[in-house]
Amino acid sequence: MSKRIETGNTACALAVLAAGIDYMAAYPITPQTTLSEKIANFAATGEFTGKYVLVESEHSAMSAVAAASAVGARTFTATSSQGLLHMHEILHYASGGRLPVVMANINRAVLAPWCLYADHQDSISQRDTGWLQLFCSNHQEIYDSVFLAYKVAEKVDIPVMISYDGFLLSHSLLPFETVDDSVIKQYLPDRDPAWRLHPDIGGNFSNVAMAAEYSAYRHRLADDTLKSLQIFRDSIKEYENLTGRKQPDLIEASGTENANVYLLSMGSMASEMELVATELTKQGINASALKLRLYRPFPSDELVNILPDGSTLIVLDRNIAYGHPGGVLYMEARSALYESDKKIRVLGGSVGLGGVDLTVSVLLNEVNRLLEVAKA
Amino acid sequence: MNTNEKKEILQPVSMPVEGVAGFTSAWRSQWPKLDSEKCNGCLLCWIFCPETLISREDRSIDLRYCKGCAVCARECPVNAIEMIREGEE
Amino acid sequence: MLELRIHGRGGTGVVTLADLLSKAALAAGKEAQALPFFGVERRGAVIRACFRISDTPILQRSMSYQPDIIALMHENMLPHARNEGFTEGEDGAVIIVNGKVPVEAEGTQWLVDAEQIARDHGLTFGWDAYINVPMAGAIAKVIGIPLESVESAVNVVFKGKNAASNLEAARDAYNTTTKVKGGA
Repeated sequence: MSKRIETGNTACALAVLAAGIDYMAAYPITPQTTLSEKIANFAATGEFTGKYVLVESEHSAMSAVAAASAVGARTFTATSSQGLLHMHEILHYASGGRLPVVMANINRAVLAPWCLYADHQDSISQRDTGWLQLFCSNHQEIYDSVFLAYKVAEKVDIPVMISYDGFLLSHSLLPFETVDDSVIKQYLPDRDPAWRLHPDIGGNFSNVAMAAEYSAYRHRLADDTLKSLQIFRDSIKEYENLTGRKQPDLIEASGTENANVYLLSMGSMASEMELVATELTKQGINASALKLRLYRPFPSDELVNILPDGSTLIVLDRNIAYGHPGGVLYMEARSALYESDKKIRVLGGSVGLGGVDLTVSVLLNEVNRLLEVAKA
Repeated sequence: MNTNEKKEILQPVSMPVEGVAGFTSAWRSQWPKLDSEKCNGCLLCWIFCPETLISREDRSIDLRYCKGCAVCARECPVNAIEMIREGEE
Repeated sequence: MLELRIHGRGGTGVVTLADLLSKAALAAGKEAQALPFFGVERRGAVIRACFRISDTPILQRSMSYQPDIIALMHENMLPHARNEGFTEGEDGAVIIVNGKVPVEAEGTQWLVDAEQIARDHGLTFGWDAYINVPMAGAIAKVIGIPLESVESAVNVVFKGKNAASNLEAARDAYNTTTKVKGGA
């Protein structure tokens, strides 16, 4: 184990190098470019021993990794924004095909108009593709999430997307601890697929399915997505035990326990929100920040368990759920709490779109505005 | 899930099974008749048959699944295959 | 926590400077964060980068708007620094300037002739001088990062390639950076 200070994209590349990837295909796009460049560099120096393929588009990148995954390879790709949208068709193919592909999506605003900066609209537009989605708030989480993603993906045969904010995390430098290759090897043994495309095995992949079969496959994917919640919890514990390093929970709470006000968010702003909670507590409002690590499947039980009866939940999203007041996390939180007996007031707002800088004071203003709405 | 546990196949995978869609000979209005005297063994019929019914060894045709498409007769360079009306010899 | 904002021009090595500073801070046993702001990344374009150093993990993910220290890669970057905002005056931000004379601003300033140091050690490309390594030496001195930590960072970032001349430049800057009084 050693402590390093690198960019978020380098942290991701180092984890990809350690995870024993057999096949990677990518097409460059800002702010993902330095990640695929870094891995290409590892491939050029011989440190990356898998096959690295530079394809002509993101659609091809996802098609290539899905196909490689179907023959049994451990695969990786990365993209951002328009690139992710261009992959959309094959994202469904990868999840429907139960292919444990892992992808890093460096969050960036989608056009129009053109914008290069952090915004979650790209990831959340893929919410219903059947991919599992992890979000990161620092470089340690980016590094660790790569191993967690493969661990879970290969157990449930569902692809995983790791999202982290463009520039704010991808190009900033923050310290993180690497894990020894031997420990990773133990956590992540070689992939052992139940079936793979191979001339000696035979079989047809993704043949025509009639309604009954198709519906059975889809229900199975939905059930297994929900079941993956427990696999995430167990895999995080296993990683903690192997590395001896505490991992954030699926929803990590910081600040006051039994607070009156809870601040839920994901991505880089979830880190700054810890400071907002401290600031609110100084103002006499007992506050706690909740950092969401896993967006799909949504850890509803965790949220319900953390929130005390009668508390207020403020949800800030770096995206918009068009047609619904607020962002997707606001929607998820309200949906999760509906079945609970606890009486919790939930308010939400969309902030930081297109990379609007979310300083403590900007976030505090929005939180105070929503608290005023709650009072009214 | 431990490593000894046999993993269930979750992928949409199908294995080729003979006659999975029933005997497709019922679709036919004419059947291919091979004249082994004329046949030069070029195997073009074996390559082109969309139902892979023609044997590579003896060019016998599995008529249980032949849909009568006549691709083999069309492709044969020496006209060794003739299409005969169903019910006739 | 100490917050620093660097104002420079594209192509002069501001991103590498941020990399060097954060690696030097890590070597000195500190927590650090470097956050370059990317816009039009063209040679000559006005760019900025933020750098935070602390004894405890850094939770901020936004840029610095009230930095404790302003580093000007060229004397004429002062208006850009003012545009971004910082507190001027005796109790305001300390200004580190690459130049021979102080810039027209009140408060404490540190002067380093990074351009001359870079040229003295052959750190040039065409007409341009790579002023980032001497600036790293100067900034490290002002914020209290030991010279050994800067040297280890230079060795990591430049891995043999020009490491010797860069090390000399960093040392020169570290030793010649001087505190002066600014004036309006």
